[in-house]
Amino acid sequence: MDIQNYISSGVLEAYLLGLASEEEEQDVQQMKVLYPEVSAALNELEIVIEQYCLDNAVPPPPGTWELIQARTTGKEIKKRDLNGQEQQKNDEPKADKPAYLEVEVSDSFIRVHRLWRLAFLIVFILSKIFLIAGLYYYFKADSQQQEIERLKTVIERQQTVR
Amino acid sequence: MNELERSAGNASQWQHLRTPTDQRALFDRFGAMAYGVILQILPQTHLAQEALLDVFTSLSLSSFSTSSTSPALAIIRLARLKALERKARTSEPDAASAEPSSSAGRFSPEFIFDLSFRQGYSFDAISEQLDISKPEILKAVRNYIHLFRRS
Repeated sequence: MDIQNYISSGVLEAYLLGLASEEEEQDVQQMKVLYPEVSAALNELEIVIEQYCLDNAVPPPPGTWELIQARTTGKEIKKRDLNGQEQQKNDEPKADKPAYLEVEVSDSFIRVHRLWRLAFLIVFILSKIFLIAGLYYYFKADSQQQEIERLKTVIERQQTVR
Repeated sequence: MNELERSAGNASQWQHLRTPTDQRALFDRFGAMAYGVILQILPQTHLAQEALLDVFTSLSLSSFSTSSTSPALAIIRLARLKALERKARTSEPDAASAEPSSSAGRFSPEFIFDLSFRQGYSFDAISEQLDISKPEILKAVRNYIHLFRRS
């Protein structure tokens, strides 16, 4: 086989870009092992393709890493949750395995169950009701106290007149 | 040592990528490059960002530690794959874009590269649609890469 023809056929570029078929990929891998020229050409092309992509690089939108972290953490929790369920089904829980999940939190946000929203809403509404009721009874008691004081004054005046 | 030499050199340093620190290092180094590749396939930024998340949360991210290619190349392949997956999920394939738009009856290397790399058409599909042989397609992909290299 003419190695130079093989190198210049374009199959190496297709292989590195992930465009080649499985058969072609296996073929290139074999050729790479057998012929140092192919291996050298692949190394050179890797740099060219990487440079092409680096020249077209665009910074990801802000907050992308935080989203990746959140998604990775979610996956880890789900994975451990599933493992835990399987473990419970199969055998007794081991004493040395912690019964809690270690969640790494590196930002100022926490994730809570959606039922907490309803709980927060109920607590908020109840606090408002108690506040209004408290103010109502306070002013009512205050006005009653003033009425008592007024009546006392009237009685005292009447006794003085007699 | 420059960026290229560092990434092309040692693939074994990227083993155990599932640790947050390594994943972060990988994102810092290749995030922009992957996003650039994705934007070539998915110009809508919100979809492109989703595809980028798919890349860096992918379980196959760790598999390239055993791969013979460099981490950068593995990221490029994965980014392309995830972008094409997103594109397929969100829209119907654009048949009109596969129409030949060449000059003087020949298909330009850029056009062939666009069909195969950015639009995800297989070589067989391109060969059938444009009525050109597979070796010609491979040659066009090579020419496009080397065209870029010379410029």
